[in-house]
Amino acid sequence: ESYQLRFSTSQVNPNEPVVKVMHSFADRVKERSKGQLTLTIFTGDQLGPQKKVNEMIKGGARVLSVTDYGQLSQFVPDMAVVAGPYMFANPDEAKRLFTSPVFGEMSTRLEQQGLKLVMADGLFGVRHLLASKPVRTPADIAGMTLRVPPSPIMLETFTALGARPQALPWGEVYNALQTGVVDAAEANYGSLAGSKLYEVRKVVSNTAHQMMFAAFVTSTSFFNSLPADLQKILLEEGRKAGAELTAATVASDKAFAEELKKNGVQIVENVDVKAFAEKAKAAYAKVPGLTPGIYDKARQALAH
Amino acid sequence: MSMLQLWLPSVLMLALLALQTPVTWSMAIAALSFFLMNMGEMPLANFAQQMAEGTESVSLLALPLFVLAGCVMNASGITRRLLHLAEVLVGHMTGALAQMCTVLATLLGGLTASANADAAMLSKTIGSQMVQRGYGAPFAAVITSSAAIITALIPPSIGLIVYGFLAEASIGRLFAAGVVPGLLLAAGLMLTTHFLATRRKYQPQRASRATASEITQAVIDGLWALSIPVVILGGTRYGIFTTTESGAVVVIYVVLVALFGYREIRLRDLPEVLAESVRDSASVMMMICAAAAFGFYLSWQQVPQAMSGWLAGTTTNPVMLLLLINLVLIALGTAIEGSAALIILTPMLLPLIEGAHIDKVHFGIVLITNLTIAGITPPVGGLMYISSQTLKVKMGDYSREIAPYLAVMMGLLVLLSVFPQLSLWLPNLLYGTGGVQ
Amino acid sequence: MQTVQTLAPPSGGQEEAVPAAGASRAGRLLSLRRIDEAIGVACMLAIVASIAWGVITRYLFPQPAAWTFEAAVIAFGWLVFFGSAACVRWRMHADVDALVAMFPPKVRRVVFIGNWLLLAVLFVVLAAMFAWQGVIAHSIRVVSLDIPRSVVYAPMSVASILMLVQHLLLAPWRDGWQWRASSESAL
Ligand code: NA
Ligand code: NA
Repeated sequence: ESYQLRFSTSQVNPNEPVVKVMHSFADRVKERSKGQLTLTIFTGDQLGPQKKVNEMIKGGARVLSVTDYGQLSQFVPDMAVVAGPYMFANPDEAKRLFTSPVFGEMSTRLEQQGLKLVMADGLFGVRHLLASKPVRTPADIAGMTLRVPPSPIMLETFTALGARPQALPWGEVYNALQTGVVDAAEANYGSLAGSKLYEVRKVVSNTAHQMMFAAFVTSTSFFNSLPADLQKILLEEGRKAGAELTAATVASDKAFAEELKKNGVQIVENVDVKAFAEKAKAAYAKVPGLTPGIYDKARQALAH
Repeated sequence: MSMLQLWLPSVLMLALLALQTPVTWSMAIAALSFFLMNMGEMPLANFAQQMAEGTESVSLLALPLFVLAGCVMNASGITRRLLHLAEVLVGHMTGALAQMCTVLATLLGGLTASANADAAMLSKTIGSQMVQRGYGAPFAAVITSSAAIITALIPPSIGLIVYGFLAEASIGRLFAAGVVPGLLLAAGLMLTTHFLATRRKYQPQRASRATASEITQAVIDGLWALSIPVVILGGTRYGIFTTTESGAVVVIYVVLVALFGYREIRLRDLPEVLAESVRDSASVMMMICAAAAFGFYLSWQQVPQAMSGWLAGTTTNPVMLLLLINLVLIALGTAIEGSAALIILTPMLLPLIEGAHIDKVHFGIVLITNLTIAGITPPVGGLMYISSQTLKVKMGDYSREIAPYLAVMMGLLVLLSVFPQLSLWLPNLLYGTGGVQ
Repeated sequence: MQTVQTLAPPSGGQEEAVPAAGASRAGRLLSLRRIDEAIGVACMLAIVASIAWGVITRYLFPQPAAWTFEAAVIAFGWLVFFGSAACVRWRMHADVDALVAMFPPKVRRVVFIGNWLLLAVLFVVLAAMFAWQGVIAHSIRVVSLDIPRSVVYAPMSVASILMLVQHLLLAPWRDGWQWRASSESAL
């Protein structure tokens, strides 16, 4: 029997690292399965935004979705720690969490929710702050109204840092910055460059407050219905795709930084990240639904 | 995948539509048939999820708010005063109300970002007045829905922002590029209206120009009403609230003006006004929801890709390519909603555009103009639904009246495609020709 | 120009008043027959209030409220589906009669009965599917409000049942399944 799987992402630009990785993943799966498992790529939310596609998958739809841990925390609240502020110092440290029993237990719970992780650990980007002035210490953002995505961990992070986070839909950010509804926004280099937000704010401060990891998820019931050899191909190629994405993101972030500079953006490097990390820690105690002690457990896993 | 699975939902939708099944439910049943045929790939419950999805959009949230504002304005004498003001100013002209509608849409276009919200506002206010004064409901529906297209071109514009994100084009340049085409569209609509109004002998509202004292009186009487656009403009320009938020602010402001400014409405009248706005919003939104579920079938089966793929092999001449793309988009636009088409088609058409060395900003203007026009081409079109539903117009009558306006818009599309300078002159003036693509 | 006819009771045919003025004819808003509209009105008020609250808190409070858009979007979904049930009663779901109007009366009647039955089935399916989707979504959390996502879908199932009820209350058999042209409230 041959299987067809629709592979969905929010990203539009075919040159985005994640879209390139999706293509190479799809090609390798097709080749190794001798055409038994084919993936069709749907960019730009053609099948709907991540929230909706993940919900379809939970219901059993044959879709593979590129998503992140902020989204997955809607299914398993503890997964919010993977998207938490200053969780990892670098991608290598993150690798230790992804191979730890703590994470294994979370992904089992996700599987019971109907979502099977095919790839768990591809670096998608590091989020920085875009404002009209340099931000070097937490004092610099005190009272600053700042757009964040509607996710509890991000809201709590910036509340802890003393800013005034405002959850707004992504589509309204450009206008909100231009008219001054919000003073600042935050995103990874790729999104900052792609969305042209630098037309309305000119200073990017490397706060590195969140390391974003992408994941590929598909329906547990569909995954389990596949023959063992196809399951194995998906998981093995998923691991490769994760490493590939991390490498591609690190490389492309450099190019995006150059692009931002070329467009007149000032990039502030000397940010007191330690002070930010210390202050942001309070957020972990405030996010609703987290198992008590999960943050400490995750930190312990990183240490080993 | 068989041809049956690919085309049956489309054929079913058209058949049901012809057999007098309500438009909303024709699309819903067609979408349901798609989910029934694909139960192996996704659960049937996803049909419900797709139907609900249309309401999960923050930008559409502005629609019920502006509908409500329009209902309150109508019930409280605010509209009457604004129209009286318009009447003393241009009432002596032929087809005065219809011309006022276009002028107001152009002004509103600079305030609001959503053509749907503007169509709701225009048809609720000027549209219903036109019907009362004998213009004919189909004509009123056509002019209010056509005028709303101007909003999509004159900044701010949701469509241009979405395109800017998708195409990685400068939103500032796109905004500047929309101004001249938006004004051209307004001029085209007004000329057409003038021609039709003269031929049909629509009477002017008044025999002679108003006197200065009449105008002064109307301005004083309308001060409260005139302050409403000032609130929207000031609030969004100076960053007090976002475009979506302006809907709620306007509702509250309008209610306060109605209750304490003009005092023509009492608090206990409000529940029925609210109920009216609920029904009006729901009938339109349910149609948009069903269209979204139907659109999901088109996306899942990659129907638009099939059409644009056919384009790729045809020509590399930029002008020919743009004209061909316009033809395909118009064909697609009759059947699907503009915003859905925008998201699906932009990434697919961009490689063609870049290959033919067409400016992305220029293409954005052509694309948004074309896809917003899709909102007024039967049988599927949000702007058409909104105006027709508000003014109780049948699709057949609407289709007959829209013909001359559509012809003018097609002419404008050709002009915009052939002369990039119409779009690029202003952004080049403001931002220079170099730098960002 | 014809007078607008929006409220078309089964016995109908003659001109009725426009909705706002025809409220007495429609019955009191707070009645069982108009429960769908009353819920829709409550949702409309909730949308206005929550978005306005978001603006107010941004200027007056140290922390802007984060849940306001989410609450407004949920209320929006309910408004559309409950309002849609009211639209079934007020015959506001537009149809196109151009072709059917040319059919002989007997064929028209068959088409009319067929459509009525088809919609009754559709509303049953909608009610069942929304209930099912509610079950699927029950263990998903809404992002900022931190409540189960079934609160989005379960009321839509109830609204679909109300669509069915209003559809049944149209009782077209009372005048012998007489075909109706598109009402003026239709496209
Ligand atoms: Na506009
Ligand atoms: Na159309």
